[in-house]
Amino acid sequence: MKRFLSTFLAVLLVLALSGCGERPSQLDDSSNSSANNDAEQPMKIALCLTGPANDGGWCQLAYDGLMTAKEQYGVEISYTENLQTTDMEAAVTDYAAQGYNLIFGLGFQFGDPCLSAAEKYPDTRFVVFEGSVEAENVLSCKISNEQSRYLLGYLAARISKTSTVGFVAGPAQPSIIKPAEAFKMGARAANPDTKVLITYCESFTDVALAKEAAAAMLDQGADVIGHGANTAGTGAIKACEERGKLAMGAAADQNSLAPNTVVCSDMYSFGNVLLYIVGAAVDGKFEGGIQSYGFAEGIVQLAPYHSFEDKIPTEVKEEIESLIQQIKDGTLIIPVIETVTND
Amino acid sequence: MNMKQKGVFALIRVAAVLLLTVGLILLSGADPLQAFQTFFFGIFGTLHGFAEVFVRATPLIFLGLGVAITFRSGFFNLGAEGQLYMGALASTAAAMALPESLGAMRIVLAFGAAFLAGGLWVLFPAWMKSRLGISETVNTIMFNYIAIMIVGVCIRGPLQESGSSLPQSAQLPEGLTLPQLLYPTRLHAGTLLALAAVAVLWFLLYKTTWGFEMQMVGLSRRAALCTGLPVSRSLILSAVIGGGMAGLAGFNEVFGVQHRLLEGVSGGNGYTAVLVALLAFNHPIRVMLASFGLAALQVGAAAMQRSLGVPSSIVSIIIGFIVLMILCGSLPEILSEMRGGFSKQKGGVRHVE
Repeated sequence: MKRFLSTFLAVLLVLALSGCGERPSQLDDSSNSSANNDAEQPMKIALCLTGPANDGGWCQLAYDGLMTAKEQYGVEISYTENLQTTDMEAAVTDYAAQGYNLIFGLGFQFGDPCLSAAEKYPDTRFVVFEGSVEAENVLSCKISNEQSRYLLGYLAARISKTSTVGFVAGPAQPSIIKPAEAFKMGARAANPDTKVLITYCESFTDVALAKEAAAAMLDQGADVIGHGANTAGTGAIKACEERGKLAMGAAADQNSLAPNTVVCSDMYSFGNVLLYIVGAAVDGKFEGGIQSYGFAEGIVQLAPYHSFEDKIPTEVKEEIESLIQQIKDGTLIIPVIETVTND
Repeated sequence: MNMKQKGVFALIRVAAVLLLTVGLILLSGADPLQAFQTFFFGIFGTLHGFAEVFVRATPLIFLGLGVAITFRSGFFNLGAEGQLYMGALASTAAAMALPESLGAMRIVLAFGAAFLAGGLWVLFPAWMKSRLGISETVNTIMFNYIAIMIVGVCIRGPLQESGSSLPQSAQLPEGLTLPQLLYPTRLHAGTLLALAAVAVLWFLLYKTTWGFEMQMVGLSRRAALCTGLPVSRSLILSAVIGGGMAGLAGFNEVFGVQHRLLEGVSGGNGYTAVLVALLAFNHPIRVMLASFGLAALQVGAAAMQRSLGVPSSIVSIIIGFIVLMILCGSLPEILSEMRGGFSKQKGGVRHVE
């Protein structure tokens, strides 16, 4: 008897209180009613995150987007943090069962879970960030940051005095190779003779490593360096600052890191994509499939030049403006290259 | 401690859990009553939630059994996580590589491959422990990282879905997954396998010579050696069976839940399994009960988080505290054992029934 006590308690804790579990729950009522008069109720939106909502990066940007959506469109929201791969399907299915209309999964891992939940709940819409799955009610979305990196590469080559530019990239995986290759294309488009040095660092966080890689490029004569290595990339900016060379920011306006070094940055976040999709869904314009979001949708943007506003020749700025316009029109399409090319 | 005192002690602990839970939920700005309601509604209120308890308990049972049997023989195996990954990897590879003509036989072979891979993965640390006396706790943990990295390499290389750039394997071939038991819930036949495994391990531990030897070795290696028991063999055998069980958990997750191999397939259950084994005093049937209990806690807590926006960290604190309070249940026993010292053999023999 004595030995059973501990295990017995485990069961006890659950069972002793289960009396109130059978009570008809408010939750049940609300989910039923929302299914019945869908039109009158505000749209219910759920966000599933793989990490904590306050991680200051990937998850937080999406979370912020969700909060903005709540204010802007008056939608009802809910989110789940720290989801393990094993629990994703349970989470999205449960949201669908609770009557949520639009369910976001942040990460390609949500692909299968969303597909299987979408089959069971055909009236619910699912969105997978960085995903590759599609169905009538499943949308996979990507950010076309190759468009902005192409422009940064173009700008770098135009302002380079040595005709040599560098790009410090993160680990060689498709989402990182894509902007690096675009940077190279952009630089070549500005000046076919430009030498483009690209280094892949096996880390998103090792600032010292990226700094070393950038220093090696500066030694080889590069005088403008871009990066695509998240946190680690700030090391590349630091290296340029110390040597009095120029750098390009990535994913956010990074001018404040080194005001006299960072010429321009591109800006995008999945939070804005989320906001864009919520807006489309509120207008009844949601469509399944695989979608990329770039300049045309206002998701990808270039940051202001700040102190370089006067230093960059007007004709270069005009060329950039016209390229942005062409990308928006669809007259200029930046190819997506996801494997490393060595030329 | 008499029965009455024990009852009071148990009540105090339940009250402590309730108090902390209510306090934390109030802190997070939700209504505690509603929170409890959603908690139990999450578990018992919907078919989906109820089935989810079984889905979550299944890998915990396999892993808990694996850890428990190694603990029984005194092999402190913290490598269930890695063994799970190796089992998942081997069974996926087997399913992909075996010729289609074998049909459903491939599932059986994949099952065997998972058991073998998990068992082999623990063999080296077990050998080092038994022959060289090197601590298995550190080794088995280190082997976890190696296993996870190997899986990472495989799903970015040989096993990666062709034409896709995502780090995951292709979906299992048609008809090679464990049957779904209760569509549209995720309940699958793996749960039945887990229950069968509970019976098998119970039989092995309590009804066979091998099991008896393992328990003897676990209680006192030296005494077992002096009695002429095959200490090394018992130790390695229990380690391999334990590793195999953890490998089966990997098989279960790939064939029953994910239907493909990807990173994070364990969900950290390899470490939760140590908790399960502790809660269950390494007894197979209690492993099953503890797994269901923990799974129910997780499912209810997840429902609470989704419905009321109680942050996940608060949910983790509550689960941790509940487990702590449950473990406190054995405090009187531990204290009396410490007071009794070596003269009182009763405490030591209690595992053999």
